[in-house]
Amino acid sequence: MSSASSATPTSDAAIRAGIDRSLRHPVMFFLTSGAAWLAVSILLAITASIKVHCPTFLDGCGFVDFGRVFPAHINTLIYGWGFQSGFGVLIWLMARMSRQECRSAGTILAAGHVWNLGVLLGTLGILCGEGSGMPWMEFPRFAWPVLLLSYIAIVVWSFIQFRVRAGERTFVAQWYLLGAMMWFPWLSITANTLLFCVPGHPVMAAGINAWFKSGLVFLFFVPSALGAAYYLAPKLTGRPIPSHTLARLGFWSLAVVAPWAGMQKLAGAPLPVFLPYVGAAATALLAVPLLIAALNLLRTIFSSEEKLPKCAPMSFTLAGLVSMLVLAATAVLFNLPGSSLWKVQFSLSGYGFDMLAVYGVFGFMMFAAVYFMVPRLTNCEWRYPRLINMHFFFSVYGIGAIVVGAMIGGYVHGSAAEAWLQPWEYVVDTLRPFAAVSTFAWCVILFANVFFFLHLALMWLRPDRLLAACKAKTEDRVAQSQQTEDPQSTTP
Amino acid sequence: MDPTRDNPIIRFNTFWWALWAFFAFAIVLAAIMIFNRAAPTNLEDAVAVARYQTQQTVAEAQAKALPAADIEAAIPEVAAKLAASKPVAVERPDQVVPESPTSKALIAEPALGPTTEPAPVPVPAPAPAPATEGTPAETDAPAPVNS
Amino acid sequence: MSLRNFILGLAASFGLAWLCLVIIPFVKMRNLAPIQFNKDLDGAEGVFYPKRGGRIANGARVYGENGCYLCHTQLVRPTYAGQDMHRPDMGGLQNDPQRGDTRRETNAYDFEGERFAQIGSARIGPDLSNVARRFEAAAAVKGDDNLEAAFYAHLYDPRLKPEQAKAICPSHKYMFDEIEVKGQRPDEAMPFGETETTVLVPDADARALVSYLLSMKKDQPVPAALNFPFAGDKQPSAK
Repeated sequence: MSSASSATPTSDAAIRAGIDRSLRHPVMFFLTSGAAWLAVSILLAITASIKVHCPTFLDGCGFVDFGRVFPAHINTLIYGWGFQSGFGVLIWLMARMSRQECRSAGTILAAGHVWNLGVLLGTLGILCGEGSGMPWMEFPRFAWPVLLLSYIAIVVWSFIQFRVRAGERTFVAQWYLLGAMMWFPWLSITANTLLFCVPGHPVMAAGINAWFKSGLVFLFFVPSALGAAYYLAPKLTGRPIPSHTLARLGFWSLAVVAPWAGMQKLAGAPLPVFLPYVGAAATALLAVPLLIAALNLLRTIFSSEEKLPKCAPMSFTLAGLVSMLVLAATAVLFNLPGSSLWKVQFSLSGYGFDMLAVYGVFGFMMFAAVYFMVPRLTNCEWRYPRLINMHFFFSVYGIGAIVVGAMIGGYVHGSAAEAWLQPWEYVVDTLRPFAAVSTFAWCVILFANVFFFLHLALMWLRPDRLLAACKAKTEDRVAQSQQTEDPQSTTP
Repeated sequence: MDPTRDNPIIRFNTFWWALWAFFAFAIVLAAIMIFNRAAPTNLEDAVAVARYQTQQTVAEAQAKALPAADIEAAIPEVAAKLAASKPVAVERPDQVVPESPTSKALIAEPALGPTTEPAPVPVPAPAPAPATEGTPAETDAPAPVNS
Repeated sequence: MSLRNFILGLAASFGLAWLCLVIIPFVKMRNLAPIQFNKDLDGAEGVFYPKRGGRIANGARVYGENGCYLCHTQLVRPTYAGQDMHRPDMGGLQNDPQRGDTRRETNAYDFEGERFAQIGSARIGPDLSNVARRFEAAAAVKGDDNLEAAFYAHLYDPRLKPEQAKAICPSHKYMFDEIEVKGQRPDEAMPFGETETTVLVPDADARALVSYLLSMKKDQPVPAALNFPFAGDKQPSAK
């Protein structure tokens, strides 16, 4: 980035402001609609979770049957919130790091609306009983081409921006974001074509579905989270990434190992035996790239004696890194073929692991990025720090409860299921309290996110009486940023 | 700022290269599936092979047991025998229902023995004769046929 | 590293796994050769075909649409992968009156007729591979042989029976229609949920699903080629 040093701080700020202005509408649209889908998903999660320990809740109506509400929760979480917040963060980060204004805001916005329509129709399809019955792919079959094409219409511009960027150096964050951009279409086309369009062996179809699910987690959500973290950590602390080599090792180990993971869900199924056990080994080995990235980022953040900046992006980034360490530990602990794999294979812990990855790691990093981006996009600081605190602490409590409820509880549930001398009622009695903990956790997360939605809405709506306060704060921030913000420090 | 990299041509090219990259595995998959267009193996079809073989064995055995040429040749012979063994109507006066038109006709003309009609009598005379003579024997023959 | 090399590197690392885990097994498994019985070893001839009667395709679709796979599995794992074979009624019946111990692992031919094997996500409810055998055994004990009615009752309200008061399975009341009885009571009327003027009749989804569940008897004898020795119930291991 040596060529950029010729730019003065004010022209730099002008470039950044220009990029933010060009992206304001698409990114705010994705963040807002993502937040709305998150609300829907959490409500569906609470409904589904209550039905596990109180099956007579809202009983007898097909539209809210557990078997439809739960897939609706998962799919709105992933496709409604996960992908859309991912889009918002991805296109903004790629634009900023390539220093390119967005020229296709209209196309991206249109594609975003098509994506939303696809998710809406897909969710209604599931609730009306037209789901496909394949975990994480329950939208009826018309949905996936619609989502895939709008995905491409959203991210291809970031690809172009990267290609035409000035300078030869790349940021670590860009590798992860480019990777995520490429991996999702490859996964989606393979899985959807082989499961919906080409008839094959039914057990292999289940295997490919499990591979797709793991691929979404480790080849889209985790890389997007790491991309955001590798951007935010240096940016917020003003310190460079300590080891470029370690960063490369971390990225390529993820790229090499993650595509092999997933089929451990089908251990013992009538598939070629190496498939599930390679999947278990790969999932356990994923601890390596996760630990490398966490190490690198924590060293960035804690490398000097200075106090950490006390801001929302920093808190959420740290929470995301801690979640990543827990994820790495459970990836190893839950995939030991002789002991834990057969216990947790069909227990609640699968759900806990997925939620830790999607809400814990990915979600926290996305919130960090959102709290960083929105003031720059709307030219207005976050007005109510207390709302951010509430959002943060209750989210952490919620994820902690999920770790206890679903993951530990899942291990207990799985062990009970393996106790073959006991009747099945014993297993059900064991899991019931943990299902209640799970409901509690989702209620806490809903409570946390109410503050987030409120705050985001206030940022969007910008009531007039806030403008004065916003102006004052913004002037302070611009003054500060001209002293501390320096793109040079982000390159290794 | 490197001006040569940010131009409309590079942007246009990159757009299409990006699309190729996104669909790379779809294209490879399509190529692989071209060689795998046959329907997946079906146990129903596998089991059907044995069934069709049995059906074929049975059909061959039946064809052997019933040769068409012999059947064709035998048809006229059997037809003649069938025609010859056709039962003829038999007069059983003791079976005439009283008060029926037949009984009244018999009363009116008791001279009438076996059923005859005046006009055809001369022509089929030889036919009824062997028929009446053969009647006692014939009554046995039709009986097994009728029972 | 140029962008082109980066993409190639990603494609190579992804592509190797894609080929080895997904494509090659997919192609090979769709051409899975049927297994023949061996006359000497098995005392039977012909192709091993664990054929299931009933509305497999429609029932599997309804099963998927209503999320039964979220709580029920359909996989009896071999002993190296789990303790399923030791349960007395999961892989078959341990004490079948005619055949003795009929338990066996799930094999690749057990999902014939379905597009997507509903192996399942979690075991909140029991495994369903041999649910019809369990219902049969229970019905034999009670002397009531109407299995269909038992399944319909479970679908309508799993908590109907007092011994299942704490069952978690949702009620699928929406799969039953309430119709007025005009004249003769319909044949397909359910023995539960009657009122003075109406009876409950299962709708098409319920009928397909129950037909599918009634076909869940996956404990047929297997050829020697698939018959991996099961040592029976050993002492529970230290694990």
